[in-house]
Amino acid sequence: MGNFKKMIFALLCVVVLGLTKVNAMSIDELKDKLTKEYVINGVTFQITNAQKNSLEQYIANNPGITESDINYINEKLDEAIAIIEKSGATSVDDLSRSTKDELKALITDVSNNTAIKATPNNDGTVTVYNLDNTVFGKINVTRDVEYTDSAIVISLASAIALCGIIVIAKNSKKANA
Amino acid sequence: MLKKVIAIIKVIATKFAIAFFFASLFFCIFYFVFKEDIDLIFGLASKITIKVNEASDTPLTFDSVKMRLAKYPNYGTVWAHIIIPDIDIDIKVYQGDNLELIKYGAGHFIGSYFPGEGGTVVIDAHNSVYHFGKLPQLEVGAQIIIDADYGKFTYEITSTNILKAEELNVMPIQDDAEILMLYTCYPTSGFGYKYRRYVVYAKLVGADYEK
Repeated sequence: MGNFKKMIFALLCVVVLGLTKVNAMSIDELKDKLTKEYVINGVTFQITNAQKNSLEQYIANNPGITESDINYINEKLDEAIAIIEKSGATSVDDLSRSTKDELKALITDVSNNTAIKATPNNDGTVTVYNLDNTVFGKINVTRDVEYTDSAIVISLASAIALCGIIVIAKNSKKANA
Repeated sequence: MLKKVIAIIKVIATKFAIAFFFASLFFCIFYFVFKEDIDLIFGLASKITIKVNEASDTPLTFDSVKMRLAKYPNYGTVWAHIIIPDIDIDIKVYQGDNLELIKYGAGHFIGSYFPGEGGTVVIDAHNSVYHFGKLPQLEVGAQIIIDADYGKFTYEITSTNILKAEELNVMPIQDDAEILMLYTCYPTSGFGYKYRRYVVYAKLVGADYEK
């Protein structure tokens, strides 16, 4: 359930991150829209403080998107919610491959048709770009934290060593048999 | 004939497995003995091959009315140094904390606040001795300094904790009080995937926006 929420709201954030060239009032309306609760397939979702903060940081860095882009992004946001509702999914595990592809396609669609560029990556992250095409950030959709162990190579080596032990043990058993 | 070929393949596979085993064992022992030197060499090498931005494209400025940064650093940009005198650490802080970035220093979790903004500031790094590997040596009351482009912020450790990786959200990002949260994989030595995180919480005790 947690992952599902993250996925939906990362998607909402990515899509709505584009609503930036609006007056102060519209930005307030946007924040209200983002922070309100959504009920999809009986499950209640609400944006986290971290996601809200990311949005505010994006707005501060990108003061300028056309109103037509805003409208387009709004349409895609509604489409995203409709796709999830139609799927009947209540967790990320319920989403079929085709549904996930539809959601990813929406992000690509927004990128292709507006000044907001966001690309879904195969590692579970979505890269969001500033209007000047520099990277604003990689938003992790599937997990919150990075793996901070510096000994990854050692883990691989110990796994290989373990395989070696198993092979040798097998051979010695045969020899003893 | 086929049996002979299979027998030869088996022998070759066994030899390879044994060779791999001893090579890996040697590598593990070598790494265990020379871990600090290897970290240093890789650290120096990464400085040569670094592809991330070493400084903000434009200097960061702080809006003292909104109590927010006027503009935020781009992804992969160095915007501060984190200094922990008690464990002799002074490393760069990059915007973003994916594995590409934290090879070179500490990473600032996107979505968390920046120093001085009055919310949760989350910074993580690898558990090598040149990054956050010595966090467990810190005691409550120890100082952590974030020397950012736009100001210098001093924090004092209030507590530490060891959490499962999936429990890091136990303290969600909030904007009621400025709290610095540092974490790294735990334990900081040994082989294999680390399922736990060593977490340090600190409160803001000094802010110098003028530097």
